Amino acid sequence: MTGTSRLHSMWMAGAVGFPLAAMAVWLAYVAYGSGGAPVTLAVAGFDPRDLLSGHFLTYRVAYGADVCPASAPKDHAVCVCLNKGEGQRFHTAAWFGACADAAASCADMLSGACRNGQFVAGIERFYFDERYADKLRLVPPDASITVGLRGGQGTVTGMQVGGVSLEQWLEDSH
Amino acid sequence: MSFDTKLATWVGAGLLSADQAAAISAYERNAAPARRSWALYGIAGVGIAALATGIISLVAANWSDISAPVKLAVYFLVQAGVGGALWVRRDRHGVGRETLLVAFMLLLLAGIGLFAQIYNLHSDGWQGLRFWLAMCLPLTLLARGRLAAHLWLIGFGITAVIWAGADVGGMHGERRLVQASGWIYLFAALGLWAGPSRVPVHFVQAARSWSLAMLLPVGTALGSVLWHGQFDDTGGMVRAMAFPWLGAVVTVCALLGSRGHAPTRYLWAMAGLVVASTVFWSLPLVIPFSGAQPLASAASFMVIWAFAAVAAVAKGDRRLFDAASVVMALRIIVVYFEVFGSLAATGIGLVLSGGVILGVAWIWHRYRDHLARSLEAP
Repeated sequence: MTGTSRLHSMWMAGAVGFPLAAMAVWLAYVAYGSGGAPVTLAVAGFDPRDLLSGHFLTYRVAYGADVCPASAPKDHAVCVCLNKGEGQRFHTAAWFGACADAAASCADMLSGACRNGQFVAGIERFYFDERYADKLRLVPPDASITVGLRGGQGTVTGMQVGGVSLEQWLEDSH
Repeated sequence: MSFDTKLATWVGAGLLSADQAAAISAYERNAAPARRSWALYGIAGVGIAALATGIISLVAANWSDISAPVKLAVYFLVQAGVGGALWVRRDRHGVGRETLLVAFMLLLLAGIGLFAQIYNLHSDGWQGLRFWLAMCLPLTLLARGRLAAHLWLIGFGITAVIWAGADVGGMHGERRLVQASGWIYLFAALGLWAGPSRVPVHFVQAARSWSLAMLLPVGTALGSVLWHGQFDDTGGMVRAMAFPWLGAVVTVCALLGSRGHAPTRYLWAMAGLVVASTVFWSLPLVIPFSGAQPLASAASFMVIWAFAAVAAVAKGDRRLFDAASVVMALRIIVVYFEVFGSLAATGIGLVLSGGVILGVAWIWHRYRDHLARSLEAP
């Protein structure tokens, strides 16, 4: 093997190996994040038309407070400390504000940003089977999501309706 | 007209001897197997497409019944398998290697979508594409065909447009679009640099094609629209223009630094084109015009395309010269309607309009060769 050929082989190995490694690291990161402390949040209906996203149910998370008032700075990092009170089914915002001011003692912190007056944390949609597209044109009443929290990042791990999983609810009501 | 008929015509006109025509005909017949191989590629391509569509249909029909770990495992197996096949063919040339390379790139994009679906990841879209662009850039530079470079640059353009349209960063979409246009100039600098370069020639050619397409037909069309608009955010626009203006300076420097590697007239004409096109779209954004400026807009538009025509002649690109002269002729017709407005639609106006159109077409037909020759003169 000549020097040029060896160099080309090394470049090709890197060019093929780098994306494979990057995808594996990303998958590990996402899987690790989704395995974080689970919190349950109530969700409400939202305009479900999202033509570019396929069969995703888009919704608005009910934090129990106006996390993004009109005075909130646009696109600045906002953190919400979640808490589930005695006898409550869902977590709600116990505190919210600039992430720099967030208390380190908060066990379940979710970070995001204010956009168009809404708190966006990357947990606002859930993929479902296209067989149920007709049934899920709107978010069902009494719906909630389970979110894995790790390092302030949230990953949706499940959706429930009336306390049962969305899949089960769809099967039961089919 | 068939090739043999053309040969017979040329023999009849005394351009070729009968022996030369017979030799050319024999050479073309011997070259036929190469064309047949392309037909074979075409048939094979249809077969592979049918097979792939069938597999995708089977998977799609049972998608919800396949567990997430199985989906991820199969994805990594396929991705690594295609990567392995590409590695085996790394030193070869031809369609097989390039097909595997592009398939590997497209599979990465599919993988990003798969992860997003399984983990319900939510983004504006450009973040996923940016990740894909970063992963695919080394492969794109190692490609030996143009397809990968064009695919990567199209992906880059789509990412920039989605980024400009996304509501993040507290910046208006127009300003973000202006800022993103800076990349067009950087790709133009890469594509128009004629000196020694270690960037693969296919990538350079693709960068030149796309950046010139953005600066000429797309840029002059969008720029013309800007001359009819009203913009009140002058300060913000000026800040957003810093990157594209810097890109324009880099492009002009790349062109002027290429002296000795390309015709000097071509380099100066291209530099003029870059400066004129930048001024063309910048002016209406920073100067609050009181209304539409059809004549100034048309004049600036014509200057840009005139530079393109001069560059085309200097480079011997007849098609670009013809395209530039046709665009200029059409722009004259458009400005006639812009200036005279509703008057052009009256009876006398329509007669005059027809006369203007026919006159422009006649002038273009009559003088384009003369113009091309005069531009060629030292």
